[in-house]
This record gives sequence, C-alpha cells and structure tokens, in this order.
Amino acid sequence: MILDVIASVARVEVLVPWILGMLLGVFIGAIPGLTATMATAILVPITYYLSPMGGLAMILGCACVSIFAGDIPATYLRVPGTPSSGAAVLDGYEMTRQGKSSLALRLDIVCSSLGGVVGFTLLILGATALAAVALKFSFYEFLWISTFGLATCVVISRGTMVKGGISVALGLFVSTIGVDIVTGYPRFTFGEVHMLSGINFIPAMIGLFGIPVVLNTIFAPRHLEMPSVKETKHYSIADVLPSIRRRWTLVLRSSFVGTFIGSLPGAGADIAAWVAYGMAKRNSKEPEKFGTGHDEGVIAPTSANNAGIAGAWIPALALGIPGDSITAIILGASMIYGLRPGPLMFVGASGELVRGIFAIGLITQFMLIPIGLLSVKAFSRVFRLPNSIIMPMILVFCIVGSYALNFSMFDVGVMFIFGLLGFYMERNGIPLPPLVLAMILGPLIERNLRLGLMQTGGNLLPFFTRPISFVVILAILAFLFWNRLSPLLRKLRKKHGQA
Amino acid sequence: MNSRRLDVVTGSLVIAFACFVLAYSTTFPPAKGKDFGPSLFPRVIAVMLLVLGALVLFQVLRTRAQKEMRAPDTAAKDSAHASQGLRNVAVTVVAVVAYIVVVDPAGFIPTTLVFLFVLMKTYGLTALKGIAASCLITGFVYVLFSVLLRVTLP
Repeated sequence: MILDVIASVARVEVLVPWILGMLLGVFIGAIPGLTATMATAILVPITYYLSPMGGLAMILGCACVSIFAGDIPATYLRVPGTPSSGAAVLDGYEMTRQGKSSLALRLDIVCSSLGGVVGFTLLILGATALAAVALKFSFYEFLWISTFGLATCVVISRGTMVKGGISVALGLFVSTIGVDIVTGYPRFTFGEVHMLSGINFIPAMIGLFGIPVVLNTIFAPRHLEMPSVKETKHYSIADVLPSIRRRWTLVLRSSFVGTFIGSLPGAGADIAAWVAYGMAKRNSKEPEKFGTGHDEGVIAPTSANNAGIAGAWIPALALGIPGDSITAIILGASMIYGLRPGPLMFVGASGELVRGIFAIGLITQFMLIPIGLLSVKAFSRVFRLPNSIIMPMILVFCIVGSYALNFSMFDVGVMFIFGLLGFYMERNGIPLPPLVLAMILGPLIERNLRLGLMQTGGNLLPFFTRPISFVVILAILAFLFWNRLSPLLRKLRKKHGQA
Repeated sequence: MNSRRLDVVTGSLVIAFACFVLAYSTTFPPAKGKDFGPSLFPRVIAVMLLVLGALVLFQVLRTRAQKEMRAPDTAAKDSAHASQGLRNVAVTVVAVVAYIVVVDPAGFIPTTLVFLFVLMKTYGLTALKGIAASCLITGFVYVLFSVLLRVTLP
C-alpha cells in the first residue's frame, strides 16, 4: 500500500506543480503581508486545471513551505513573514546580530522539517483519537487555552510582567475595534467606514516589528554603511546536527505541543509556536539565555509551528472541522475532488486523497531542507547589501505588503501608526509580541467568554470547574508564578524529607 | 529622559487611556436578553489597563532612582551624529506620509522610485547607486506583486 501511495505522488503531473507550489510558498512566506492563506486562495482556481493529486500537492506544498519561509525575514530583519514566525524573532534575530544568522536558519530548517515529520506522523497514526480529545473542548476550554497562549507570551517576552500585561491589554483593546461579533454594534470606529471590519493584525504586526528596526537603524548614521546581515562564521547543516541531537527531547516535545495546539480549531501555528517557546523556557536549565540568541529559543517555536500545520488536519479529516483557515480552503477544494471527512474518509476516492495528503505532507517536510537551503542562500545575498539600501527596501515591502491584503491605503496607515507605537513601546521596555498575539486571540477570547456566559446565564463557576478548564487554569497560574512557587515547593520538599 | 520619567509618562498615559475606554463604552447600547452587551469586554480591558498603569506608577515610587537607561546601541553619541540621525528619522516619517497621500493619484512606479531615491540619498548613498537600486527594487516589487501575484497596485 505504501508503494501504491508513493507511486500515486511520484508522477510528473504531481511533482511539477508540487515543486512550483513550494517555490511560491518561499516567496509568500518570506514577504511580510503575504500570508499562506492568501497564497492558498490564489492557487485554488489554478488547481482546477490540474489533476486532483497535482492540485493538492501544489497547495499543500505551498502552505507547508510558507510557514517555514516566514522565519527567514524574522531571523534576518526581525520582521516576521507570517504570524507564526513571531516567536522565531526572539532568538533568531539575536543570533543574526551576533553574526550567526546561518546557524539560526539552518537550525530552523532542520527543526521545521523534523517538527513537520512528527506532526504528520501523529496525524497518520492518530487522527481519529486526537480528534476525539479536540471534540471535548467547548467555549470554556477555548477561552482558557487562548489565555494560556497570552500568558506564555507575557512571561517569555522581555520586560516586566506588568509591562507585558499592558501590551496584552492594548492588543485586546485593538481587537475590540470594529463591529461587535454578537450584536453588530460598531465599537471605537468613530464613524470611520474602514474601521468597521476592525484593525487587521497583519499590517499592525508588520508595522510593530518592521518600523522600529528601520527607525533605530537610521537613527545611528554609522549603521547605514554596514551590511544589514554580517556573518562572523558560516554554519552548514552538519554543524547544527550535534545541537539538535543534544536537544532531541525539546524537538519532540515542541512538535507534540505544536501538533496538539494546531488540532484545536482556530488555535493555529501562531499560538503553537509561542506556547512551545514558553514551555521550552520554563523547562530549560538555562532560561536566562532565552532571548539572547539561544539555540533552544530557535528550536522550540520552529518545530512547533510546522507541526501545527499537520495538527490542523486532525479535526479536518476526522470531523470535517478545519483547524485553521489554510486547511479550510484546502478541505473545501478537496471535497470537490471527492474527499469525505469523517468515518468514511478512507473509503474509495476519498481514501486515495487522504493517503495523498499524508504522503505529500510528509514528503514535503523532507523536501523543505533543500528548498530551505536554496532560499536562505538567495535571501542572504540580498541582505549583505548596506543598510542604506536595505532599510528603504524594508519600508517598501512593509507598505506594499500591508496594501496587498485589502488593496487599501488605510492598512498602510495602520501599519505606520503601529510602527510608531512599536518604536515608543520598545523605548519604554514594553514588549511587542504580546500585543500581536492578543490582537489575534482577542476575538476568540471575547466570543467564547460571551457565549459561555450566555449559556450559563452569567454564572462564572463552569469556567473554573470543568475538568479540562481547571487543568489549563492551573497551568496558567504555574506558568505565571513559577519563579515564586518553585522555591516554596523546594522548601516543602526539604521539610517533608527531614520529617 | 530617564527610565523613571518614561515609566511615569507610560503609567499616566495607560491610566488616561483606560478612563477614556471606560467612559466611551458607556455610550454602547445596554445588554439585551442573555447577552452581556458590547461594552463587557472593553470594560474588562479598561480595568486591566487601570490596574496595570497604577502598578507601573507604584513600581516607580517604590524603586530608587535607577541609572540613566542606555538607549539601544543605535543611539548616536556626539551631537553631529545625533542631528543626522534625527534628520534621517524626520525625512523618513515625512516620506512615508507623503507616499501614502501621493501614491494613489501619482501611481505606484513613479512614487516608489522617488520614495526610494530620496531615502537612499538621505541615508548617504551616492546618486548613481541610489538611482540604480531604486529602479531595481521598484521593478522587482512590481513584477512580484503585480505580475506574478496579480495584486492590483495603485
């Protein structure tokens, strides 16, 4: 059967669109403002001219590679190419500043590949079982999982937790701008038509991360003559393998976390990357090194975000509920070809497509290594140019990337305003990543809070007493206050040991 | 401005903003039926901001005056470099605002060419290199977005 599956994908009419999709994924992922969702949506009509397996290969290849490619500008320029690359900025960019960009990206390539392999393996072996767990999640659990994502982001970001909290609160506020999801009432729009649909987090993210880098660089004229990326030593794939071998439990753990979080509908690779980073820092023997260019800080989020793509297919195939927007589009296109999510997914034409998804997803993770190396080589040549050329280029990509979402200069204005806000926040020690994550999770948190309250008639008790919610709340509290709890627990253990 | 003063400004701004959000949310329609209304979540956030802003101010009052916070290593040391840096930032901000205003009527290609050239010249690049780099970058962006990705540029 395995040979049949490989034979069904190792054909020219599948391989050519597959490779083209992956190359497109590199561009889409590496350019801030262009999302994997956008690329998937653009590709769907093109795939109708291809065979079902060829079309599937093109879209899936593009989606898988674009999640990795978003880490390239995150590492080189501190501008995440995709929202799921936000966590890769923390240590990846620091490595670039230390002249070790090739180390960061080669670690990234291998860990993304390994994370994706683990994710797709879990998908193949346990889709139905994992989907049963995801089905137990209701409003209350989704509320707390989203809060857990925000809590980890606050704890791991630089600055005090109070300032991290301010960043979260600002992000949550921005997420309330626009038409209210339940009543349809326009909130904080001040009569501006463009704000009815809310503030799009992608131009905000581009501005927050990209503009401060530009402003800080041009503020010191001596930096303008320097190359944007300077390597003190070149690292090959072979150089990073010992580090990955040493940290194989971290790779595995982050991949499991990424797969599980990705399997929660609406959660996605962005939260997966942050939660994995936060857990890695908490469990590390050198937590103080996170954020200073530490290899664990690159390994955790990059393994998790690629595993998250596979995770998103778990509820999609088992229950017909897509885990994220990319999976939603691919699922819709696949159902036209005869895919039947649910108990009959392995029967007839549907079975062939499902086995094709498994094979294409898994093999793409291995093809990520040569594709990733080529794309990193190409981008690194560009970023060796002096900052006096790179900084204006970054500005143009920020502007055009923001514009390309909705063909609106309003989004470009949003990008620039958030850029100036980000510049002020950084100067005041207020971390940026919690604001972006809060903008993404805010609507999820508000919707689940209000629907949950409507269901309970205003009673808050079920939010705390449901078993999974209770466990997640304990995890949040432990995460937030571990530094204070840990010495207390040690004291209790000593006392108990002496008694 | 040292870090304590910055924190006082930040804490005060956060508290003022929280008060604005609380006040503005009173204009939202009241809750109907089982729903708690559109003002619930903004009020929860406003209370969070009030508490956090107060905590920032409280922390400033508690701690002793800290050393002058070092700005990121991009901070210029002598006054000539400082004024050059400020000029770069000012020109960049004005250029971006002008770009947003002018690009729709003037079109993507001429606006981007001029935008890139002005910034590169400001940052110290020679005119010839500036023209060459501006043309290459504009061309690349146009082909990538407009031709390959079918994004309709202004």
